[in-house]
Amino acid sequence: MTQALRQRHRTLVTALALALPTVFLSGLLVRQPVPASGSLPTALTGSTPSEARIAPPERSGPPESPVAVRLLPGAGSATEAVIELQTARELSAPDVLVYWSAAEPEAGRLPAGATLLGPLKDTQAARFALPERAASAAGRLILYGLARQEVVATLQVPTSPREGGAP
Amino acid sequence: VSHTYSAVAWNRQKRVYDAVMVGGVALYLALFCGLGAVVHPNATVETLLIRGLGTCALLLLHVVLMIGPLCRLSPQFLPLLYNRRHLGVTTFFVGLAHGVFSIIQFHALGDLNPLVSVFVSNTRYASLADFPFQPLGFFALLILFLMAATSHDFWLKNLTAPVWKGLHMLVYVAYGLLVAHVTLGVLQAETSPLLAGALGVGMVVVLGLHVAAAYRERAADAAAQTAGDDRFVEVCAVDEIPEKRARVVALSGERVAVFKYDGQVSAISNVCQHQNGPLGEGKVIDGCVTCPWHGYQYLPCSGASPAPFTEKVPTFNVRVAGGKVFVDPRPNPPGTRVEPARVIEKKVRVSA
Repeated sequence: MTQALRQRHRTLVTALALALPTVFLSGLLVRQPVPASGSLPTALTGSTPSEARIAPPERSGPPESPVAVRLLPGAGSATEAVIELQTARELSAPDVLVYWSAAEPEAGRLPAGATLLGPLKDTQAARFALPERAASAAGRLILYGLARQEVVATLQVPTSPREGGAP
Repeated sequence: VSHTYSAVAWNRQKRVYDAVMVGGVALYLALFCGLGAVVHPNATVETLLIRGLGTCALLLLHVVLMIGPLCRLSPQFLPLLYNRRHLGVTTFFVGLAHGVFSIIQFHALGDLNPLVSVFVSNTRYASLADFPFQPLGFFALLILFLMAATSHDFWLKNLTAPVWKGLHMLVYVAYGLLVAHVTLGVLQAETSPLLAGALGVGMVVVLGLHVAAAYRERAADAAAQTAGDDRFVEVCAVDEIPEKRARVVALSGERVAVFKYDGQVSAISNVCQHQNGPLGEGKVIDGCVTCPWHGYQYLPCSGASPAPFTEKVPTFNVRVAGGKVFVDPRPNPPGTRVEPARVIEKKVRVSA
């Protein structure tokens, strides 16, 4: 090697000799403890029955009263009713939209002519104005899971403020 | 462009070297995956292969990096240096296989481009424990690719040896990146002290050898001699130079190899034009100074390779007086013929 390269080599290896042990030791010192079987909570370390099976993930069938529906008197105009939806627990379906429809959904599909009211968020109350034709025609609220493209639940539209909205 | 590409000239030594190397890699992978499957029966084949390839590449890189300083410290290791580039290219390909399998395993099933995912899936740069270690491996692999792609003598001649050597010194940067890649990656989850201990020992050995060799070279450079009024510098006694060997001296910042052969003394640059190997550690074979690294040859009186080769190194004016060798530290242009200094043998009279 030429002297210039020898100097560069010397500089590089000196820098590495200082930096690499520092990185190596620092990396070892900041290691997070990896959970071992002895350090798991009791609920997770209990013996598993030999016939135990992992339950399949729950599909989005009609949930058990996931949403309470309330009619808000006087909140809208004379021809427009307003309802409030309150989710009782976290919804199992993502991206839920609320529709009003005069027709019943068939085979989990959104009926043609259903009116979109808006999105429904987990554990948040949401208010929607019903379409004008809801005053003259019987209908229902449809919770539609956009991600899975399927009807999650159908709710009755309350006719009085005290009436609930269980499916 | 005056440099033409010519295929690698294979010989028996290279074939044996490569056969041992490829066999060693295959044996290592088989042992790693076999033992891994026994010790960790839940590990998948993909995981074992990714880890086997990664540790194999790191091990090869350690061997590659140890050869240079070992040769500086002892000429016994010179045979390992002859085919070091094949070892380096193999290191790149084993590392590439590790990288490709890792990207397929951890980044190919999302909706992002897998290469983009390597860089954006973890952006916790402020945390040492959760540092994105995969980009470190990617950049190290990029450097190894540059080195493997330019490893042929075609590039060595085109780029010139100093530029080529400078480029290939990036291997130290790649090594640093890989140590960080392993430390901040697998060692964060691997609780067994085996891997951490092996990496620590390997790092100490590689860095220790390089620092020892570098500071030994520095001591040799520090002993540089300066010229007097007549420009000639006394470098050594004639008797201190073994026959057909050289004495390497530092003059005006560079090293000069002073050879003694057939009752003559000549001085040429110590830097081989091929890979800047140390000519003064070679010997005179068939009348030519022969580089100990790859066998490049130069005529000692002119510094030129014998025809049809065209390599040339600088020569130095030299004279012998009173059993001492004197060298003019000003180099002549490469290939300049200089009349060798004659060594006057002492005649011993034997009385009957």
